[in-house]
Amino acid sequence: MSMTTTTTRLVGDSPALQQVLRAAALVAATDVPVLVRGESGTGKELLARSLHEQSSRAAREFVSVNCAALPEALAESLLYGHKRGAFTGAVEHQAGFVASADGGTLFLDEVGELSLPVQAKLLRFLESGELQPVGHAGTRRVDVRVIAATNRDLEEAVRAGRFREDLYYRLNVIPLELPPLREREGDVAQLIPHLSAELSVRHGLEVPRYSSAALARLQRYGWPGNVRELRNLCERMLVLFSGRAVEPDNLPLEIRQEATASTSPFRLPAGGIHLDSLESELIRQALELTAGNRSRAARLLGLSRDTLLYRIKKYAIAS
Amino acid sequence: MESISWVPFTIGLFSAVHCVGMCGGIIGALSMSLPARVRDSRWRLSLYLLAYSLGRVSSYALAGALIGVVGQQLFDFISPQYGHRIMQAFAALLLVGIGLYLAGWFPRFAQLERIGVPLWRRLEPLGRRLLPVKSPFHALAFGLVWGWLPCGLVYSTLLWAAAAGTAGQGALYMALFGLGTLPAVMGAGLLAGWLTRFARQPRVRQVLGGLLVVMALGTLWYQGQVVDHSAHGPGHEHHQHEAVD
Repeated sequence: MSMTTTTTRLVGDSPALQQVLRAAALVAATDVPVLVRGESGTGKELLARSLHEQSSRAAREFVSVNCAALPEALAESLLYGHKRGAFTGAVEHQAGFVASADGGTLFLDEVGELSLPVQAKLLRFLESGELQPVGHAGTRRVDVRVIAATNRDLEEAVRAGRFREDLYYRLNVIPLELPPLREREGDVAQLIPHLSAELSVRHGLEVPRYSSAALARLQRYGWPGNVRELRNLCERMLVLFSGRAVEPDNLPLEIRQEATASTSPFRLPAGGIHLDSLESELIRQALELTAGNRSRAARLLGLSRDTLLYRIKKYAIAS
Repeated sequence: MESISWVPFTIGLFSAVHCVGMCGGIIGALSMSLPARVRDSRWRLSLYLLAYSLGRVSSYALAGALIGVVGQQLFDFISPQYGHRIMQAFAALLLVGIGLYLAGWFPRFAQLERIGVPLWRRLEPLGRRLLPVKSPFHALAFGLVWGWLPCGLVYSTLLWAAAAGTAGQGALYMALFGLGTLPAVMGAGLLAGWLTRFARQPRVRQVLGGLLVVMALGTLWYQGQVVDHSAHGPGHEHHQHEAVD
């Protein structure tokens, strides 16, 4: 996550963010697992770091693990370590992420992406506090505070059988939810100078000056990629307009186009679309998702069954 | 104003959709950081949860008493004759704002919580020193600190309570608000998942917020009725106060 390598704290005075930070400051003083939720790019790792830095474990390690990037075959040895010669390629002893965090904090980012077998092993560790490195006969006790994070709906994943219910309850002891940037009123205006100043030091470039019209446009934008998207924009503007003024026309097309501040996930491409093709494609996808069940497909599309049947016929969709 | 005592209680009750984010996390941390012997015993855990809540509600009541006194001064300052009525109209408008805020239609209302930020900066270190909680007295003390945590909903209810006009009424209203929050805050630990899902649904928030707006309009109408009644009755300024109070 590039954002976390330079930005060291969550910035913003909006009540939505401050409420979470206040709760986090109190939660940090306890030593219980925390589940940080929030859309991608909201700063979940930053919040986890802040919890660690305000906790009694601050002097020890903060080990961050991106669960989505753990190859399933290697996940166990990467997490719990392995003994030299435990498997082909294990040329030297490896402590593993969990043992590296002993006395400190283990941050499991994108925990919802862990495979079910790895979830089972994680649960075992969380329940016993003991781990067994691959190829090692004995177990070892490790003292870590676990902070997990996800942008997924874990309850839905539990219902769908993709996430273990017992692990969910074990991790969801204290839920903290970071608000998306669009709900953090006033924070965009505060983040732009902060991120620009930080990036200008990194790139050795002069900060660009955003005109009030450009700032107003940026504040109206919905920021689906949250602070990460804003940071990328600041970096782009810094490189392209260093020391110069940034006007609304200099902003990327998607921001200029979004005059309505819509938060809809659907965006009209600049080249336009063929509405009928889109409609028939969505109907096909709904039928595929529901294995051809027309009533359920109609519900997914917000249509009555009769309307769906009419449109299936209209577009000659084979179901 | 006994007749509208249910208003602060209802605001507290509806705050369930608002409290999950901040207070849900705090109550989770408080209960899970208790020693295992406390967590394993239902009555001991309940004792601690009650102590937290008693502390929090006591702080609300204290704030309510203070704002009641301020409100009383304001009545006299604005107009000894009509000050009370003006404050009540203001309270009804405030209740509309609370409803719109809960519904998610007026997020700017949360800016009210900035009022308490300087005070919280001083109290927060004290709260952190009380953690982890080791005894019910600790829990009570933590609750007393927790009650001053900046929160748009608490502050707006507090401003609403200014219309009470006396320290006692102000304290009563804020205590009732605190009691209304108990199901959400005490249930947050047990029902975290369900409550979060419930609170996340925009329609739920809109219905509860809309109900508060209806309540606000209802109190305005009620006050109008009382004023009409007193205007047509003989020498009823005193009578009117009794009815509205």
